[in-house]
Amino acid sequence: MSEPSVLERLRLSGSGGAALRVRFIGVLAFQVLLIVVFTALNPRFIGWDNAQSILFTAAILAMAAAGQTLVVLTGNLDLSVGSIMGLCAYVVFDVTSQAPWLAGLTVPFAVALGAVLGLANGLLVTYLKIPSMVATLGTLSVYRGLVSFYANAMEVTSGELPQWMRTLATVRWLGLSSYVWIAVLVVVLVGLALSLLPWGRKLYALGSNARAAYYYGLNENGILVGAYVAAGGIAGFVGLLLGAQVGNINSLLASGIEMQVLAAVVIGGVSIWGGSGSVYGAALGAIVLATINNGLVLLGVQEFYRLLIQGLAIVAAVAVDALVQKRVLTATRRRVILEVAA
Amino acid sequence: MTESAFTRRRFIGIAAAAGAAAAAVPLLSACTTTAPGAATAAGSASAGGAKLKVFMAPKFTGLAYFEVARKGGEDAGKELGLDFQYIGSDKAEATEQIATLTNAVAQKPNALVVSAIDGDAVAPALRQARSAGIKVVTYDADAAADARDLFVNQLSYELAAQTMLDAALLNSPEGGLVAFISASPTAPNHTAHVKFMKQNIDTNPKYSKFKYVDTVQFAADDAQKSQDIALNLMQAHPDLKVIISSSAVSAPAAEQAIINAGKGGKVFATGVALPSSVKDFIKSGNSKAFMMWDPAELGYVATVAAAQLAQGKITTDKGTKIDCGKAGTYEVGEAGEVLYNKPLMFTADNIDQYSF
Repeated sequence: MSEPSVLERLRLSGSGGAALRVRFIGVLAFQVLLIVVFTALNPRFIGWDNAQSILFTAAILAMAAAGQTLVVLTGNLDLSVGSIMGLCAYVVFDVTSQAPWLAGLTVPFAVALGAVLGLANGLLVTYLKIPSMVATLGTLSVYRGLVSFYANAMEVTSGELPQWMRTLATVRWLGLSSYVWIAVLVVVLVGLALSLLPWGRKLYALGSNARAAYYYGLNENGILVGAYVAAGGIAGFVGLLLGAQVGNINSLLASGIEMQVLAAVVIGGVSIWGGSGSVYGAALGAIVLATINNGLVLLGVQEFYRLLIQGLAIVAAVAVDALVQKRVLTATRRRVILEVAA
Repeated sequence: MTESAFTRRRFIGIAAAAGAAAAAVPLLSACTTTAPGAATAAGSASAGGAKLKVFMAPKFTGLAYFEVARKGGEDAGKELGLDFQYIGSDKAEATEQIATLTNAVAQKPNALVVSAIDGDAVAPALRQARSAGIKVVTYDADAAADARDLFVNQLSYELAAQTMLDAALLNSPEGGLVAFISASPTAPNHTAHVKFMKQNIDTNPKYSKFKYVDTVQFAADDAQKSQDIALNLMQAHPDLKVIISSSAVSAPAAEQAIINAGKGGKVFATGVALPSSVKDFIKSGNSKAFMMWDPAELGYVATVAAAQLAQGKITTDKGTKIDCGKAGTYEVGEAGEVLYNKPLMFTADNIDQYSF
């Protein structure tokens, strides 16, 4: 009954981890491939100026994807992300345009509002046991309906936005848009929370095997509601930034963005079945999408091709994920068999 | 579902409304419409006996552009003593508008004033209305010609194209490279605008200082997408001077993207926009000109025409004059088309006069 050595265990368990690393490297390789192809087709693609544009475009998406990652890791979805962004941006900026003395509080206001909307999502999914796709498809409509009702066909114009937020959208730090640095901060914070906080580890546990997590004694509902609240808060914050970037805000802001966000998450290697992937991967997925958008405009290619390529990238990513998952499962089984045999 | 509805619709018809439609823009409550102080002259139309019932149906409710047009319709309603009602769904789908129109027929209005979300899809419902004796006037976006009596067209495609190029010239008098952002390839007016703009640049000496990027980009009336495209266009064409869009969402959003990128005053976005959404750009000097027309007066003229048609005061024959009081007199052209054709150019000199 000799136990496998520690090294042996690492080697065995490592094969699953290796598959995940390969997945991340795969996205990286895809990004490099995109850069090479676009540069070959239009040398103007490569260059600091264009890189800045791509990163700026990716910033909003990467932050929204970071919030979405929290939910997808648990094996659920948040389709209402665009509606939360739009609602928070419109309501907060409308209030501060009428009450300018609140201009300094836009961020906590938006985050709190987003968190409340996320809480509603979480409660629907956990306590009412509505499948997340259906629940958040519902709130996608409800939240958009609320902001349409609130906005009453009006618009918050760029001149009414708080000056500091308008400046933020244009300012550059160390050669990059402030949005890029804010996105880096948000992604790293979420990444640290996932890897260091017990709650972060529990998200993975819940997503990889909800039943095992339950028997282990994890509070499934609490963890899941937490994920939705955090995702909602982040969406509120991102909506605010997007609003300041866009300038004229109507009730349709960020409508339809959920597809882009989910695409970034999935392309970035966060498993749609939950339990695996990283927020850094999702951020990379956002950069991949921004690169595709940028490159195709540089090549003078139209929108349809962008959708086509994006769709293919999603399908390819999920297909690879399925292979990775199979690989991880096989590796785990092999280890269990080995241990039992030993 | 609303969401998907919005998205889908935006691809289909939305863009259509001379871009303007798309514009969800501000209708400040303090707003007073410039147009229909016009009132009186059309007052000649006031009904003799029972109140005329006129329904106005926008593509869908909730967008500022249509709300402004509604004000014009309401003003006409007040002056002419009409029973004026604003009907529609907040969902941007042809099926919703068909349902709205079908239900309206049952209420036996004397006339319908409609902006068609899809000119062919809603045609059967409009034909049904006509066969029930209801006069049908389209505004903003036309339906199939045999499904309506008159179409009050805000600007001929040619005039819209030239006005947008004039706005581009005001921004960049030395000319330069122009790129186009449309809403979608299925927006007939956007497609026509771009076609005429390209033609004018190719052949009209007035615009010969311009060159253009042949590929048209589509932003589906989405502000963020418009910005991404604007940013990428500037990367693709370092010598780009002007971005032109018939979408009242895309044009201001692109200008904001230019300002965000620190290129305000060097690169310009222009095209169709509600004045309230571009006031800040023009005041700050980043932009010199945007264009549109007065949606309120358009709604006013369409409503007056509908009422006069229902009263039998006018016919749809070519050459018929429609007296709309201070809003002017218009003539019915080919195929029942009434050209409103009053472009507005918003510049630093006049932007403060507009409150919509």
